[in-house]
Amino acid sequence: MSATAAARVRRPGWTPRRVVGRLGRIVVWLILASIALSTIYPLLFVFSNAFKTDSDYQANEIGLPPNPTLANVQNAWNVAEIGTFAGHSFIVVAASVVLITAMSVLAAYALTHLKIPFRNIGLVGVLALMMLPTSVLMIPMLRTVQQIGLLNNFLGLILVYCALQLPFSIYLMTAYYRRIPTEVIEAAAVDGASPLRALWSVVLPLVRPGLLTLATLNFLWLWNELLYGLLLLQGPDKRTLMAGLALLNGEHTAGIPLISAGLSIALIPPLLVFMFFQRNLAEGITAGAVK
Amino acid sequence: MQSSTIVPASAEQQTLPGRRKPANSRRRTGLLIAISFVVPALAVLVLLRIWPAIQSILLSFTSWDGIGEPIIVGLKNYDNLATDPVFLQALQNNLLLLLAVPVWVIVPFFVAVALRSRPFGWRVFRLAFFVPNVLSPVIVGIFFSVMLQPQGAVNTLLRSIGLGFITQNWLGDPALALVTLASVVIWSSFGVGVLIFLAALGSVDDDLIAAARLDGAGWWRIQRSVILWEILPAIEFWAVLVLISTFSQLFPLVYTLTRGGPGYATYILDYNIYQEAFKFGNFGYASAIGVVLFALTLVLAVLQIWLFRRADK
Repeated sequence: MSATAAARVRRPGWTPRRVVGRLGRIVVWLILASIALSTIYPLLFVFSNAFKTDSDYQANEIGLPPNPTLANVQNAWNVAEIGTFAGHSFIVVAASVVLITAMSVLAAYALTHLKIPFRNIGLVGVLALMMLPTSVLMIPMLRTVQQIGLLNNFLGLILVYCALQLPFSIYLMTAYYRRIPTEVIEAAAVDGASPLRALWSVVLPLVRPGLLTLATLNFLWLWNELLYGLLLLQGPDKRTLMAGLALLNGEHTAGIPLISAGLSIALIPPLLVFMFFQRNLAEGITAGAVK
Repeated sequence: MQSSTIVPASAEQQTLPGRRKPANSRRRTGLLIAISFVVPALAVLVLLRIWPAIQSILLSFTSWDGIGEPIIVGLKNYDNLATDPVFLQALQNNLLLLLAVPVWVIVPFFVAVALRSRPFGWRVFRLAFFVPNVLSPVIVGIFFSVMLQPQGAVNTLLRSIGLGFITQNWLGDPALALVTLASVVIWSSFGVGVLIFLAALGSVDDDLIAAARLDGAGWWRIQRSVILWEILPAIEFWAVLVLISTFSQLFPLVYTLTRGGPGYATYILDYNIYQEAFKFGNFGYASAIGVVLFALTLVLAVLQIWLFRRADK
């Protein structure tokens, strides 16, 4: 049995079956490579157009800038106020990510490892909220934020972002908490640790990768969020970066190079975050799917 | 020290009644702590998810310009919906987009299967496939509106490799725009599916595949009869995510890429809500569209929870 297998592996020459197999592998590789090119190319597109003059862009939309210029970046920063908008986005997104992480860490822990009434209803509720589209809520959300007096206030958008991301975040944290054996938590309780103490010193160190994933995902999504940014912070003195860029894109006076310069600036934080945490990200996204 | 480990039976019984009370109050503080863990998240969700959902239903029975007080008009909004060609077109487009779901599941599945055999540079591929998720929809929208112009790069590329007969007016042709939109959406999100499927494939037992091969199963047979079943929970999970996405993740792309056009060819329900409310000031009417979208997804959500529960078992 093993002898024949070994003979088969060592058999030299180009049998038709091997040729087909090798060709197949090359074709598959070429397909993968062209998909990868298509997903990476937009980065090149945005970065290279940021350094083109309007007329160079008109002459050639793709390809590298023949006469690189910094004028677009300067204009985006000074005239189109991209820097100011980026500051707004940073405040809102950072505060949201911190709040979402804190709230979902606590709530998910109670839902998985503490005795709490209506636990199952809570878990199903989280799933249900996760699945219902949030775009349905745009009007009543605007009205509610208006009612509590937080329209055109960073805090309003921060709270809305929390509400949007909490169901998914709680769900992801429960997936991580479930991997921790109850014995570990019981042992902490027997040693006299309060639930908060047990969570902080025993459980959280064990789910650190999960926390990083959660924060990364929420950062990436909220940094790029458009709809509620447009709706809830309407004045230019409060505008978020994506809203600013989308509105700039709507103005016909702004050329693609200027917008590209703005987009390039907007891309730097998420790209950095993505590159630092990509290993975590792969693991975290799959935590919810595979148990 | 020693007496605490070996307690005489009588002593144990004596201390028991005394202990019960602290144990009881400890349980009560435990409950209070557990509840206090949930309260912040619950408060935010009630205020900004559940209360708005209720308001959305209430507003759908009113006429409201977004500034004054809503005026109750009963079922008038729903009556109008039934004959509103724009709404019906948007509804139809949303349902048509459900047809993209199988493609949306199959593409990342096969890419993951291809990556599993670790071809040259597979780590780079995995990283590259995720990049569109880092891009904002504003970038994706601008990028594709330039690329897909009649004289844009995509058509130029097709012509240069001798496939000139495929060239299309990708975004301008009403018959094609929705397909183009769906393709862009799949392009921008399949990387997540690849990650999920790769993780699931990683947990498939290699012996199982070896056994199937010994039994004479070919490549296709192994995918269909072994791997598919082994990673079914992951497929269900992804299918559910994608299903939700067709109802909730398309707005930013429609807003930046097609603006619902040409005509109403890529008008979808959430874009319809946005336009009715913020362009025409019909907030009550827009709320009624929201309720329809809400009801549609409620049906799907029930189906999804059922699937999740089944996948858990």
